[in-house]
Amino acid sequence: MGAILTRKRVGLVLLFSAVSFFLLLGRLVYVQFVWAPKLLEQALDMRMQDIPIQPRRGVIYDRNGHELAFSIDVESVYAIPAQVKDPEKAAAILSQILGMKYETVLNKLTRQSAFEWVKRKIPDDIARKIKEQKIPGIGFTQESMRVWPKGTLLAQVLGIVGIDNDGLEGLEYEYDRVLRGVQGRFTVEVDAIGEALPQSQRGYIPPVQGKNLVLTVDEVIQFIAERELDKAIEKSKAKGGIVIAMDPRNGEILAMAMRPTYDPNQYDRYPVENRRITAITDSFPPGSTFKPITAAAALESGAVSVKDTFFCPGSTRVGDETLSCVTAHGSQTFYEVIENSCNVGFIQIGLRTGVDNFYKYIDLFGVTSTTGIDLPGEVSGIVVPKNQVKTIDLAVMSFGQTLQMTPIQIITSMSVIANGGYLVVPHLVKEITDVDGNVLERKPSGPVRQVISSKTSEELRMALEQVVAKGTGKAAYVPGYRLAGKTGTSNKVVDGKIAPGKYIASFVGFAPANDPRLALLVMIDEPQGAYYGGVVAAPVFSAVMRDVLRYLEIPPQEEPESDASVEMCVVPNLVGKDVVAAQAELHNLGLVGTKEGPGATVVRQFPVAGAKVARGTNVILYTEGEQEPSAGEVRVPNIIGLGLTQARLKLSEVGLSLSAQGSGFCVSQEPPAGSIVPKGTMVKAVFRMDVGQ
Amino acid sequence: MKRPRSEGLIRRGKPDYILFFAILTLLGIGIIMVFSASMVRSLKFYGHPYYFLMMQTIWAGLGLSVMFFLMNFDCWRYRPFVPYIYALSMLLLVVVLIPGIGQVRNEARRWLGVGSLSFQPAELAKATTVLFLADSLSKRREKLKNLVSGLGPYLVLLGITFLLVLMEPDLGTAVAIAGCAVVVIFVAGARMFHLGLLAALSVPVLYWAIMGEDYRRRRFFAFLDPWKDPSGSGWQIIQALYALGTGGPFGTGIGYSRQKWFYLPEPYTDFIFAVLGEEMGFLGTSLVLLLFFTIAWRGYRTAMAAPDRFSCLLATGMTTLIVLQAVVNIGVVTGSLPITGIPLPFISYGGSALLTNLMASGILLNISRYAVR
Repeated sequence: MGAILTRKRVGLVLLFSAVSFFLLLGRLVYVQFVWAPKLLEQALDMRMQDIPIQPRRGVIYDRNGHELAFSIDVESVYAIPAQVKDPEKAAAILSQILGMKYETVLNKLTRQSAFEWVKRKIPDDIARKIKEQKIPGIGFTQESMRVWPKGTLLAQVLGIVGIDNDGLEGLEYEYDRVLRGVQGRFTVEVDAIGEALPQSQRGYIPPVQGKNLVLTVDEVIQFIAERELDKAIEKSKAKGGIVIAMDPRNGEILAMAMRPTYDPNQYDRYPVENRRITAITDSFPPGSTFKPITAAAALESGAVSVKDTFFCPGSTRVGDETLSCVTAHGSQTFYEVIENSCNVGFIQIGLRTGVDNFYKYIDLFGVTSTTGIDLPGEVSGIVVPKNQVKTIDLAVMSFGQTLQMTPIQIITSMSVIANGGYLVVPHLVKEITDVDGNVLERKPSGPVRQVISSKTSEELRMALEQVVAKGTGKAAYVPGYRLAGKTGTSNKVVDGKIAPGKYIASFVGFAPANDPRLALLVMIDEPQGAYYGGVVAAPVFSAVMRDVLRYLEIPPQEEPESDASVEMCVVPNLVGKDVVAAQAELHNLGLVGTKEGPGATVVRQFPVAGAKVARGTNVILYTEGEQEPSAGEVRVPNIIGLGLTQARLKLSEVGLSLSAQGSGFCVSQEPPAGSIVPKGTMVKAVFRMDVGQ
Repeated sequence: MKRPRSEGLIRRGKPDYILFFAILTLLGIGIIMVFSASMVRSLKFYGHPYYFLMMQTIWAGLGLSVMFFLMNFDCWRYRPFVPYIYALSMLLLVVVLIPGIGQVRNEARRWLGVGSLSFQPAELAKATTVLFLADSLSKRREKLKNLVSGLGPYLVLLGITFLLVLMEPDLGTAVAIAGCAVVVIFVAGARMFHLGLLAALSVPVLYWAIMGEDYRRRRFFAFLDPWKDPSGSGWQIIQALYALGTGGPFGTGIGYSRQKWFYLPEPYTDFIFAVLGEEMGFLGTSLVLLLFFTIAWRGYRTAMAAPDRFSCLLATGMTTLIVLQAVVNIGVVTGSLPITGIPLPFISYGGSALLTNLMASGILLNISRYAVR
């Protein structure tokens, strides 16, 4: 009957719904028990935002604690594409603020990925503008950006880092593990918009900050070296050049300047070749700068004594070949051979020394190996293998041709002669310090081995002093100081062949000759016009030596032996006097006064009052006014109106530090812009939030 | 005031208390969950966390009053007015479609009224359709055996209702109405052959409706493999599953849902069950399932014990109204059914739905008082 059928059908409906509920219960058991751990893992993967915290890369200081490379915190914008609600709108806003292409941004925002950089390392004000827009799915993280505040100064040696702060070249590469530190992580559970959830799970692994490097380089000496190198290249229209300053006693590099150069802060704007550390990666025929090694080998092996004499008829025959000298030097003492840089004399010295002794000493001087300097890419010198060497090779090698040496090898071997006979390892890092400045490691700087006796070393120092005093290196002379050195002019070797018309003019030496404190090498690559080392490189050597010796406060000495023909006189005190009057006074004494700076009154002079100089010496008169800051001094830039980061950056570019008060934008500074202060001076500035604008 | 024949024999008894408490418990859980699931958005859009809670509480108060009234106001007393009530309900379905009168939210014209004082005619139509079918079908059982003259007119009427609701558009409610109607017609005694024929005929229509548009097809089948398009059609299901998975057996604790923080698209309406599953775990979801099963059990039991055909069909329809929506909603949230847009009765936020469901509950409880034992 109807009622029964109806009840039966209701019962069927009930049964059907009971089955449905049972199936749903089964599904819930599966989802919330069996599947739950995996779902939770995936859900956390989605909700947990893992933000890497880059460690602060260590600072590179010069030997006096001036910053040469450091890292600053900058913001980077990233997107979590899944959380970007309206990619078109977001892309429009971002592309406009960041100055990027709309399509590029949109592409990043719509990519199937969990994390996408939009733009890394952007200025503070740009970051603030984006933050104000509060775009869902767009976040910020602090990253550190490498800054080389001195720009091109020491650029090749310092090197560069990649976008992830990994050292790519130079010291940044060589000491990457020291500087880098260890990355940390911050994880936080966020909502779909990217804000941290209340009571969310968080994790924090702090980064380990990078360690600092304290270099042996003195930025003032480096600055002097680069300035003089630039001047010389400009004057001789050369292709490039190298200046290395080193403490011959321990191998500490005080300056290493190379041209052409680049600015590590924007290295992509320069040719890649400019980044090469040519002082260690390129070898050249050393030419006459090699002759001291030949001389040392000869003296030390006993093949030659300083009392021997050598005759130069202008040329000599070795086997089938005739090798000629610049001129017929006639009969010369051992010292005179060096003084005149006489090739024929050196051929005789080299042949007398013999292959065995010659090779023994070039090995001991380190010509056939690398110096071990703490820079990447060093090459060793190239010599004819000992088992293939012929007499002609030995003859030519004696005056520094056919073999090749890197500039760092040349100055290192010169240091052996300077320091009493010891081979030292040239190095750039003095100490490794932690964040608080505590010294963690001090780099050893002791000698590797004794190469020649102190007697031989002293004899050669005397010989090299004569080169500057009256030989080919007269132009290297610095009034009041005893200098030793050797000129060099060599043909460039391109693809294993001598390139005609392409020369390298060099000068390598040290001072003071009796107690060497500073070894210096100058190489000018392909100078136009005059190309002799004594003409092109020696004046650079002189200019650098003059300023560096003064900077190092090495007192001027009297001439080693007052030549009767040179009249000496005492420099008067000219400070405070009118320039014209001072020049007149100098003229009366037989000296020359050169004015530097636009002012009319002398504020400083060089050589200083009381120095004993030869007649005819040039006395530089520095005047007041818009003068160029001299070595170790800088002009204070204007930082008013700048934000804290920009202000600090601008000051550090010239080597000043900032003492900030308040926050916001700079409203006042002390000392004022334009004043000249010593490098490292603290500029005090007041910052204020500009509410009115 | 027509009374059943048996009126004289059966006295009005007590309502089914098990059913009564199941409904009240679900309502209580619902208000707590609406508060927890909506506070994030309420805070964002209204500056305080209580907006949706307040609205839901007001509607619950109103709904409970209606439920208590209908529980005590015998269904036979308004049976003579059923055709007019149904006609009025249909009229409202037409009116809401007129631009300028019907309010548009989320690109759907579903609401009548002013501001937050508005309701959905389609929700009301669920109850009135059941009411109409119960009244009409109980009078013409024999005629129902004929496909054309018996079943035909109902199918036409239902088809119109279905299309009107679909035009808003409101697929979920249209499906719910159709589902309830089919169950009532089935219980009323339609031939299985006819229903089977109807099912066979609806296949090409459904096929066209689902497969016709690419986005609809993708949305329909997304539940089978939501990870195929995790940021598009699969997003909602994945987020719901993450919520249920995060909850696990015991849940994160009330108020501690993570997924409601903008990951779940409709945390306090269609996907509130996911938030519930996250905060109360399997403990909560199985309890809710049990309560809905209780409604099914006590509701259909009431239908079976109803004193006459009208009240039997009415009880069947009203129970189905609640149970069908619960099954479909939970099916969707657990990734077992395609997304339809049906809220969870008593728990999801929404005034019209709550009112309709409590109305249905009132009618059901009223019939339970006349159970023939």
